[in-house]
Amino acid sequence: MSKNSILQLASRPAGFLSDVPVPGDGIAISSRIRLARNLSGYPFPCNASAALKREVAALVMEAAAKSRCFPEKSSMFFPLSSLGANDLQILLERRLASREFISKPDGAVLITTSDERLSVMVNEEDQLRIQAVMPGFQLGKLWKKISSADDKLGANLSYAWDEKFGFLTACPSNTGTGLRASVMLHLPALVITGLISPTLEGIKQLNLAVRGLRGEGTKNHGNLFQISNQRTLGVSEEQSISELSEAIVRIIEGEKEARRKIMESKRTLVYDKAGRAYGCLKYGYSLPLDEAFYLLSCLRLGVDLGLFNAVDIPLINKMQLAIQPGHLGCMLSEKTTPDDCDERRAMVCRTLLKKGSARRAG
Amino acid sequence: MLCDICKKNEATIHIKEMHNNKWTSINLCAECAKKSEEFGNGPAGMDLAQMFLELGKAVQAKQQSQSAEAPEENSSVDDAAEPCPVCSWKLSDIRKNNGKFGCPSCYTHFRDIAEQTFNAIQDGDTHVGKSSDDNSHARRESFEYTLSVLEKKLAECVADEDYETAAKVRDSILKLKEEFRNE
Repeated sequence: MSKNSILQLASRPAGFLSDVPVPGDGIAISSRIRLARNLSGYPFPCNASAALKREVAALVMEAAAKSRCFPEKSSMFFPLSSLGANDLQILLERRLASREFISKPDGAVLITTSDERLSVMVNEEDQLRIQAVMPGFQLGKLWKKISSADDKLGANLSYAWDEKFGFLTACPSNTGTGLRASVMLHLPALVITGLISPTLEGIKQLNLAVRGLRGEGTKNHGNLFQISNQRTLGVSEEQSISELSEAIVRIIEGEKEARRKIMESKRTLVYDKAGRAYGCLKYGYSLPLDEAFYLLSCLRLGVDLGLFNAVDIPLINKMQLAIQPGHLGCMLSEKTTPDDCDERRAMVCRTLLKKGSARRAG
Repeated sequence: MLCDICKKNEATIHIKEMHNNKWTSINLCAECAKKSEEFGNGPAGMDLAQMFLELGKAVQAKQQSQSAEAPEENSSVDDAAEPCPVCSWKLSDIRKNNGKFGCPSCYTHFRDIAEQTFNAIQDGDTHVGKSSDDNSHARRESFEYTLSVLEKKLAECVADEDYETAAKVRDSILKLKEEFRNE
C-alpha cells in the first residue's frame, strides 16, 4: 500500500458511479454497505487521544496489509492530517469519507482500493468503518464482498464484541451488526407527480431512513435520495438487507409507474425540462451547484427515457462528480469566490458535453 | 434555561417530539443544535441525549431511595452513577456526546442503561447475525498467506547469504506458528 496524492483519485471515475453503460432503467444509481467495527481494549475515537488513535490506525493498516483485501499495487492510504481542505472535500464528494470523518483529521486514515469499491475509514465515529460500494442496485453482491473483507480484517484484529449485544460501537444506534446498507435512487418522476412525500412517509414507517446525496445530515440534491436501514440490533444482516431490498424494489416500481404517467400526460413538460437542461449545461456560463444538480437530474431523466443520443449515463455520472466544489478545486485558494466556482462549473459542463457529443458523433 | 447537552449556554431551541405516545422535550443552545444537525445526529442524536437525561434521573432516584443522605446540591444528576472503570467515561459524558459510549467496557459497566437504550431504539437488545468468531476460515487463510510471505523472504535471505536477517525471519515464522496454534 502506498501513500498517494488525491489528484490521482480525482481524475478517475468514482467507485460508486458507473463509467460504463448499465442495462436497466437507471433509477438505482449506486449501492453501499458499511460495517462499524472497533477494537477491544481501546476507547472509541470520541474518547481517545490522538496518540491512541494513531496506535489503532497502525494496527488497522497492518491488518489491512495482511488481509489481502488491499493489495499493495492496487490500494492506497491517506492520513487525513496530511491533506488540505480541497483534498478532504474531494474524498467527501467521492463518498470515501463522511463529514464527521473529515472534521477530525488527527489520527484518521483512509484506506481504499484503487477502484474505490472497498475502503476503510479508520477513526471515524468508530475505529473501523468498512465500506463497499457498487454502481446500480447490487446489495446481495455487496454483502458477500464486505462480509468477506470483514472476516479477513477481523482475522488480524480483535474486534470489540459482546455475546448479547454483538459488535460494540461508539453509538448504540449501530451496535449489533454495525451494518448500514443504502441505495441511492434517482426519483424525478415521483417528485414531478407530487408522489414523493407519501413515498418518503411510507419509507419512514418501514423503519428505513431517507437522506440526501452526500450521506448524513445533507439535504437532497437533484432528486437523488438515499434509502437505508436503521436498526442494527435484533435483526440479522441478511434480514436488514432483504427488507431494504424489498422496499427499494417497490420504490423503483413507483418511480417507473410515475414515469409512464408523466410520459402519457406531461410528455411536453418532460421533453422541455430535459431539453432546457441540456441547453443550459452545454451553453451556460455560470452555474450554481444546486442548479447544476437539478439540471443533471433533468438530463438524466431525458437519457433514461431515450430522448438524447448525444449523452449517456457514464457522461452524466462524470459530470455529477466534476461539478462539485472539491473536484472543481474551489478550495485550493482563498481567493476563489463563489462566482468563480459557478463559472468554472459551467466551463466544465460545456467541455464535457462538447467532448461527449464529439465522441458520440465520431 | 440551560442547554440540555452542554449545560453551559442558554437554550434557545426547544424541541418537542412524540415518542411511544409520550411527549418528550429537549432544550438546546444554538451551538449544540448546529453540531447535532451537522453530524446528522438530528432527531436520533437528540433522542439519545434526551434518553440519557431521563436515565440519569432514574439512576439518581434509585440511589436516593437506597441512601438516607440527600445528594449534594451541586452534583449533576448524570454523575450519580459510577464512571466506567476502564475509560472513566461518566453518564454525563455519554449525554454530552449525543449518546455515544466511551469504550467497549462502558457496555458492561452501564449494562442496564445500554439495554434500556437498545429496547427503545432498536429491535430489542439481543444480537442476531454474524458473530466475531465466524472468521476461523479467514484466520487460517491469513496465517497461510503471512507464512508464505515469510517463507519466501527466508528463501531470498538464504540465497543472498544474509544469514542475520534469515535468523530473524525464521524467528518470526516460529512465533507466527506458535500464535496460530494457541488461538
